[in-house]
Amino acid sequence: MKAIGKKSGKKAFLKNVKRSRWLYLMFALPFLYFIVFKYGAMAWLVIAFEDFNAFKGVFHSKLVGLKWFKTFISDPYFWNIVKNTIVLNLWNIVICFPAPILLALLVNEVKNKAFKKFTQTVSYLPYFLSTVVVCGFITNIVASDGLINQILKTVGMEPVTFLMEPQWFRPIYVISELWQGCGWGSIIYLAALAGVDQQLYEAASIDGASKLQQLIHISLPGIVSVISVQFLLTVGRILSIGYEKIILLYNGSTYKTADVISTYVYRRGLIEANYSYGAAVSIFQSVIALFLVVMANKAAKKVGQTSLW
Amino acid sequence: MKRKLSTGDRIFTIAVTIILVLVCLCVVYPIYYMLIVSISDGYAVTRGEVNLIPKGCNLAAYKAILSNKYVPNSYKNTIIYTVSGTLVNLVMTGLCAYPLSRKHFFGRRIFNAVIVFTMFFDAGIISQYMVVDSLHMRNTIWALIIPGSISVWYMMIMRTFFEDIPEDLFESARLDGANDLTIFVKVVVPLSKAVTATMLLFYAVGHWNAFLTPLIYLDDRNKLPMQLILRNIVMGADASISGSMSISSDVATMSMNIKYAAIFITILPILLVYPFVQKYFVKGVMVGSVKG
Amino acid sequence: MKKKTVALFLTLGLILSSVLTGCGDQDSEGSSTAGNTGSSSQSSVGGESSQEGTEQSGGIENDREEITVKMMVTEPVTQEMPETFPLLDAIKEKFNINLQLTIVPGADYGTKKATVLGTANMPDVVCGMTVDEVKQYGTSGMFLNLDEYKSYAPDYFGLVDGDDRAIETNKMRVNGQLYCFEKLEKYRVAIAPLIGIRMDLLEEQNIATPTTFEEYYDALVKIKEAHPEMYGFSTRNGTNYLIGNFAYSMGTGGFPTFNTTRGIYLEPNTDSYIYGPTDEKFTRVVEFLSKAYKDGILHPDYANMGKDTMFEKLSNGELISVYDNNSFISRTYNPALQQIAPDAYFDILEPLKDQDGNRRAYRYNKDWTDNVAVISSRTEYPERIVEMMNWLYTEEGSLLSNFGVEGVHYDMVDGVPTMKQEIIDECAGADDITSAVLGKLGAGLLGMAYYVDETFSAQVSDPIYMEQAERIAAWTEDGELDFLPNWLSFTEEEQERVTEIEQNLSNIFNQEIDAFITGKKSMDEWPGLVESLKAAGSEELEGIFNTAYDRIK
Repeated sequence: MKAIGKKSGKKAFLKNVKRSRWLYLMFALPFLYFIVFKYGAMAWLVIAFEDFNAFKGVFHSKLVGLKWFKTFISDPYFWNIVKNTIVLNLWNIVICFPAPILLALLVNEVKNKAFKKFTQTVSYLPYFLSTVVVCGFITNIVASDGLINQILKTVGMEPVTFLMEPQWFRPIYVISELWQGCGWGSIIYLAALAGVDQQLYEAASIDGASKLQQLIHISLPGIVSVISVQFLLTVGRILSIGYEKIILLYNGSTYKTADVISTYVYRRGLIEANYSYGAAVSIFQSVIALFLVVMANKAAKKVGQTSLW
Repeated sequence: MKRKLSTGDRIFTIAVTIILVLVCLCVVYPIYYMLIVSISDGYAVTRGEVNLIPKGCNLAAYKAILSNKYVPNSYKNTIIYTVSGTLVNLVMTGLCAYPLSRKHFFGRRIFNAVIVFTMFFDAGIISQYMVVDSLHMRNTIWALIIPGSISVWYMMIMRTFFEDIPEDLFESARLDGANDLTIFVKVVVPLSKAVTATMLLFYAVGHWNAFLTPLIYLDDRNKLPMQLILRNIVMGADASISGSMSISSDVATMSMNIKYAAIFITILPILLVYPFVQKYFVKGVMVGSVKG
Repeated sequence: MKKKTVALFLTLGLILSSVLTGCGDQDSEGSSTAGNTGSSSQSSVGGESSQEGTEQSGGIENDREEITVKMMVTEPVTQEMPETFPLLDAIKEKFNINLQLTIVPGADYGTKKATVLGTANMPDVVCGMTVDEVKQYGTSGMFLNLDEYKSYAPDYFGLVDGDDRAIETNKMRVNGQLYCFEKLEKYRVAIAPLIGIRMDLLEEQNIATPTTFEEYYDALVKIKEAHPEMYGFSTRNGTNYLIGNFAYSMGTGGFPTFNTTRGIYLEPNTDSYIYGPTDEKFTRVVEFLSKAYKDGILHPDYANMGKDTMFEKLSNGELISVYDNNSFISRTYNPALQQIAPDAYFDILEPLKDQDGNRRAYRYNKDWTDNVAVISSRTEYPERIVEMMNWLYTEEGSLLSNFGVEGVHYDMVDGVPTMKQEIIDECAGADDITSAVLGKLGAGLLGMAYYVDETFSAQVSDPIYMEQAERIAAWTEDGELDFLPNWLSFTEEEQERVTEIEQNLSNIFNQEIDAFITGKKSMDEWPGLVESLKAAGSEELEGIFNTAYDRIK
């Protein structure tokens, strides 16, 4: 391999290409796909710099430069919604990201086959419920006569109007995400755990390692590359949160913590369908996210973890 | 292997069991609740009387859904779209992930970056619609399976799994004179059952639940998948919420039942498929294949 | 090894070629089904030449060449939309137009519309548009300007420019131009958002039927004393929806009926637009609601209560009254409630007197502004399509599109179209007879009728619902109920400003209002909120609205 590096440019290049010819052949179709469907579609983002008129089309609408970016950034609520988006995503990363890993590790420890299967099957079910249904459950549970307040009353505490209190919004949102996504998210890690060499466990238990030690020193390192990639991809979403769930759970009195970029744009969109504004906001989100991921990726490389590129 | 468990291990096992039982409880009750609502009397449900046991058992909600004349055909459509779509997904994702996982793939980093970039600058559904339209794919099955044939996220995960395959396996195959393609088919694919099963599940569920792409790409009602038809039935029961229209009697009182019955009709097939997928998550797939 | 290479090449080739054939398939199909704008392939020459002398609808020539017109319609969630029905045959016969329908499930119609409009990929006609959408896309030049084709649509313009509709029609015009065919009412069963109250509880407590808001409130308090577990009222659509219902009846306004984002409303006393929350009388509403919250009359979960929860509480006897669409009473709450309490029932109240002794409340808009049709400006046959649409507003077209074919589906009984019994019997056992019958005919409001006649619905609806409709009609006659006015349209510059101000106002208002209702803030702080709303441009907004209103009056 080192020999290749020493050869003169062109020759080395040709040799490298030749060495990879089968890979190129395989990669051709996927690459074509990305060029046509992803980069082809990206041309559309030009409308962020236009006063987009659907009838005239992307290429004939009036250019307005950075107008929409300015509108968004100079908005009095800009900092609040950006902050809320990031904070909510940080909550997500701290709580919802590790949970599926933990669940997978625990399920992996179960020896009883029936129980193991049952847990797996049941835990991913909530994933299939629509947002509306999940939010319906949440509002019922935290209602003034709902389960949580009943419990608070029995232990002699004051009932709380959870959905009216800004400080409660984030916990409620994150717990519901956790409930819905934890089991489903654990599937990937279970698949990764299936690839861990069984001989390692056998060797360790002969050495007298406890189960907990095995979990920490064998299982976890066995899936760390998947965790690393998942983490980097998650970081890339730090500025995006879907609005569907939030608009069902928030109201004016919780805007302070609940209003995020997507819900803000959504409310604006209710008044006026403005594709250009939407595109500008999405470019803004993308640029920041890309920057963060590049940083995170560098860090991952430094500590020797699997990186995105 | 019949060693006695140490105290620590016993505590550990008990703790694991307790946590998992709790997790199951949290998840099972809401699902159970939806099941009993879907088979209870509509008025009793409307009054909020159904909590632990079903009341006035009947299957009216299921009948209401299954008697819709578009449901059988749409179910068939969904199966076709899911099977063909998932197949394309797996082939394309594999073809993309494998080269990117190989260290000697010349240009690997650039290609990786080019692909990851698309994840951030995703121009959204309308722009994709324009591409699909210019390729004359609209109103065909291709519009549903080609534009989303690779999810970057899933591809990255698959790539990571491929990277984790021990390098000596590749070396020994290469010494036998295999090229990259043969290695992929003969070595990598058999070793990647677990990740392939996961991808299969993820992609299949994506197709199964898809409603946005079929909605915008398909014009012919007979081509629509089940989700769109079900959404319409569910919304029908939920109608009038937005409008200044009068509400139609019986359907309105069934809205909860129908909503939940629709969920069960949707997830039942996935429940049935899951055990087959689960099979591939058992430990030691890798070791077994290497030895064999 | 070579064999394998070949095999693999073949596989890849197969995948590629199947992709390509896939596209090819579509091409051959495309001309018949896929909706490329104006690709109505049957030759287009001469489509316009034979137009002269067709102004009266009676004189339409039948020997014009056959054309295909693509029309996108929605299958409403409550009523089926068939592929073929009598009206389509009639249109074929009369206009030689093949109306080719793309039927989209109603639940997701909005998304579909946004896609075809946002990509300028619209078929010849798009039905089921909202006026808001017409305004959003109207300035782009995408839609056919109907004012330019006025002579082809005498019946439609006769109706919309008539004295009773002219101003409301002007509000739909974009830069003075009309782009849409609106569904108009010929006969409609009256419904309105009104207060419904448990009459049995009023009797039980010996309370006379309330006529003022004070009496209403006292009644709720008295019933609550006897039944502490009950609450007075709630809402299913958030705070603004609640306010919208009460504010107008209390002599002020804002957030009318379903519009929970717009605080501005048309005040009939001054015939001008006022931003409700900064109105002096608006404090009445907030004080009323905050007192109700404190006294346990307003349900504590009001701000996040959804439809299902509210229906639950109304039908299990947890709520004493409701301010909402009256049709729910006879069709949902009462039947559910009477299963557990046979004597219990809700009934609507006449609009209550406010502090000044006036009675007023909204009913939903006259006509159906959320259900209009637009024609593509790129269509090859604008005249013929406009003529066809216009025909739907004639007596002949209206009967066909509301009742089907005379003698086959309905008979004229004393001048009233009456659906044949065998047609009704065919649908016996359906959840909703009206939509089941009309669904087969593609008829009625949810079908292809544009001059809508709900006579049939009235004939088969339950008596309570019809009796309420009569009372609502009578209150409308007495001037106690006002039709909700349409929203104005603006110039592009105005619209941009309106969007911005409204967004700012609703952000401020929404964040603060619940604090006042739940008592976290006292009414002493209200003037502060009014000040910040004014600072955010409420007066400028009123100015823009009134300028726009003056333009069309």
